[in-house]
Amino acid sequence: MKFNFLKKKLSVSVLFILTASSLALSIAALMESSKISQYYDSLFITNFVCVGILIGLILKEMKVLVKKANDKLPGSRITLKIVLAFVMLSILPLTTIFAFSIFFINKSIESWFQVEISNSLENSAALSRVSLDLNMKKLLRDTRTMVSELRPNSIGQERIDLRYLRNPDNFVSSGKNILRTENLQTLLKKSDAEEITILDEKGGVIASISKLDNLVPRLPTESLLLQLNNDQDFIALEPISNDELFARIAIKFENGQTKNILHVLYRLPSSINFLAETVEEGIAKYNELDYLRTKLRISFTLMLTLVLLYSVIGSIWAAIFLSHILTRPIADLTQATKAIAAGNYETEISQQSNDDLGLLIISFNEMTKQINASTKKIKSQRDYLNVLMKQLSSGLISISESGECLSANSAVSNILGVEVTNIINKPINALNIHEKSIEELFKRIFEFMHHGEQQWQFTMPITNGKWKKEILCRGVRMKAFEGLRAAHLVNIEDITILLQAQKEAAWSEVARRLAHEIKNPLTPIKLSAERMTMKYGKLLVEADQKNFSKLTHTIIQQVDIIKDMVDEFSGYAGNAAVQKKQKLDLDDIIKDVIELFSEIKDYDSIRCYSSQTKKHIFGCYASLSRMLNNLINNALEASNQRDEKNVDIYAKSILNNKTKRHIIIIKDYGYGIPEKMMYKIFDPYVSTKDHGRGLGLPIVKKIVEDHNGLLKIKSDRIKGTRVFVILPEGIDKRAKV
Amino acid sequence: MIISALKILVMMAMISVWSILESNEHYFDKSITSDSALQKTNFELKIPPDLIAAIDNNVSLTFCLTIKIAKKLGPFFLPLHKKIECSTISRYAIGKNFILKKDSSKKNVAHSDLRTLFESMLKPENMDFEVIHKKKLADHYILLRWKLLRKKLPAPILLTTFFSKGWNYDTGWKVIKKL
Repeated sequence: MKFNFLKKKLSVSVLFILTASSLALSIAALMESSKISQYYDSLFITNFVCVGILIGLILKEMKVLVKKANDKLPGSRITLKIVLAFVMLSILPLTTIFAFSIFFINKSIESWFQVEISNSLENSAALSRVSLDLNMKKLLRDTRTMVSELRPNSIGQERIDLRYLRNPDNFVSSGKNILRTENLQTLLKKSDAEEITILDEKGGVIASISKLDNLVPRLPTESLLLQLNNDQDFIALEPISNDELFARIAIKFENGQTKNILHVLYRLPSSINFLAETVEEGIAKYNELDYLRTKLRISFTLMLTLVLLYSVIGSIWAAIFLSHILTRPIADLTQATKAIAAGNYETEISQQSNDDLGLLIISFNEMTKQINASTKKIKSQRDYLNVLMKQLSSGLISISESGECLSANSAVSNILGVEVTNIINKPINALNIHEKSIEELFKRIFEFMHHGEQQWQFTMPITNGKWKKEILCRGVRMKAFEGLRAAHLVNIEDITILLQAQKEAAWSEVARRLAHEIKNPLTPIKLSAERMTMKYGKLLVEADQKNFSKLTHTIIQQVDIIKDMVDEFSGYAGNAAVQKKQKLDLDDIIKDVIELFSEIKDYDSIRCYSSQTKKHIFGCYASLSRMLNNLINNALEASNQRDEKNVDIYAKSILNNKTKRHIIIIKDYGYGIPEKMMYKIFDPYVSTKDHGRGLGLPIVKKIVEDHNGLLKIKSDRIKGTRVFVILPEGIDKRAKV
Repeated sequence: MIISALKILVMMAMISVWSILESNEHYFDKSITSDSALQKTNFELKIPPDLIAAIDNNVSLTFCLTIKIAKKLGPFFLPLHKKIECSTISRYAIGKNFILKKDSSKKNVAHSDLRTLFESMLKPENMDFEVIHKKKLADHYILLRWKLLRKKLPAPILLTTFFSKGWNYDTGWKVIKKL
């Protein structure tokens, strides 16, 4: 990323330097330098292209800046503002300078061309011409004298083929022909002429002699010949070689029968040559500039426009570059602030300067470190509190003054069977929970809160159809302080087990005392009744004897019934500690119990399905036999209600989490247990049977719990009832389900 | 390897197209006797008025004459020999005449008007056909091309006349003789 940025900067810098060089060369070419001027158009196109590329780059950069500003990226807006400010600051003076420059250039160009200067130059040209004409007239006279001095008869009429003169090898033979004209040599020596040539009427060279270093004579033009054919002498001023002025004079003369032309070149004096050259140069330059006036103006305007564009682009680019440098710390700060706002307290900005912004960054980093340390501390405390809250078996709910539930720990969910998300951030008096009893619980909490008491508590049962619990709810109003929204703290506890245990303990105590108090007089009563029958029955008359016997029998029978009842009470109140526990095979116990029933019931009606595995448990044979006896008895009675005789017993072992357990399932085919009875089926003196005392299942439950087991009942009106007895592998007496 | 071959192929194709375009402009064939190499050419230079005006205003213009001897291959001309001769035309203010200066020999020839100057430029005796005589080429063609040398123009004209047809004066190739 950084490499790309540097590469981009380098490329742009190179482009700027290239454009500046090209502009400088263009201006040099436009001003004077003849060597560069031939590349002026190429240089201009280069300038144009470079400036175009720079404009494109600037536009792209500006687009990126605007997009960043629209996206609200940190530092982008201030960068854009700085760039715009720079642009405004640079464009105004540059445009002013541009306008004035254009004005001054146009004025300057116009000032070059004044009528006075133009007239002066024309006059100087005319003056030069007059002066030269005087010289030319003299030279014409000299030429005419030259004609008279010529000996025309000695001049042959043979033409020289000029093509031969182009080759130096041919010079000697042709030169001889020229040199044969001795009188030409004499004339050349006598006169100021530089070259004398004799031509025929058509311009063919007959003889020529020259002081100049050329092999071929400087021949007259067609216009010259045309003028001579009109019997006019030819006089002209020409810059023949090295821009030296020569007078070209040609006169037609008679050479016997034919007409020949004397063509003479005179070199003008150096003083006149110099002056004429100066005047010519001035006039030519002035005329050229006059002709190029508009084009110059356009060229200067275009160049200045390019320079203006270059300057504006340069200033914008510099503005972008500088604004990036200036706003980088601000952008870093903004970004870091956002990161902190988002919760990233480990953000740190690298310090890039020692100015005020650098000090600000140092302070910011310090502040961030402190916030980070404090946050970590708070977080650790909160985590600790959360762990504590999770560990709590009691449910804790914090509620605001308005009745909004602010927080609830996981125990609330466990106790109430409701997801805490259904409670948190909702008013507790208007919760939308399926379970009406739980809704009722929260409504009561709300009522207690609004009574204004500092502390309160109540108990109430709740149910969700599958279970029924007794809830103890306690609340406390918290002391208000700044920043704490919670006004009430509510503690919810499931006291079902506690109440059940208390109830069972009470029942057990009652049963134990009742058994003890009743059992003691029963034996003497029964013995007394039997003795009365034996001793006094024979003394009575036959009619009274029968009656007496019947009465004593009733006493004995009722005593037996009371004794059975007392035995059951004793069983319910029996102490697990005094039970004789040993290693037992569960299959043996089941088999023994089923055999007991074979004496009084149809043996085939009790069907047992047991797995092959050995099911060892550690327990009391008598208690476990009694438990199974009770359960099978209940099952048989339930099946009989539907005229069904069958009861199924399943026994199997399962391995769960490396713990072996044994399950006994007693299934009947009766009408099941009514739903309303399910919650209190294990309570003493609760029975679905008309003659039942309601102690069977409480005794079964007590025995199972004494063996660290678990008892569960599933009942259905159609399928009947299934009782699940789950007992741990019994070698270790500490094993528990 | 394949890419290099392709590049060479493309370059050859470009050179062929260029030579065809270069040599086949303004073609007109006229059978001329073998001894007519020095005959007067039968086309004249139509100099645009802008250029005439510039010369009249003392702006020197340089024209380059390219002479090419080429062999005809089907509809195309295969160049064998090429010579370029540049001459500068300028106005002499004091003498009120026009000077034709050959850049190679630095020799000046004065003309009273531009018409005669341009006519003289086209005269075959002013062209160097030495090569033709030396090599004694037969069944070859002489092609001429007159062109204004833009890079010798003053800088302001260069820019403002970039797209001007007159200021990009070029006769194109003209077949003037068959040897």
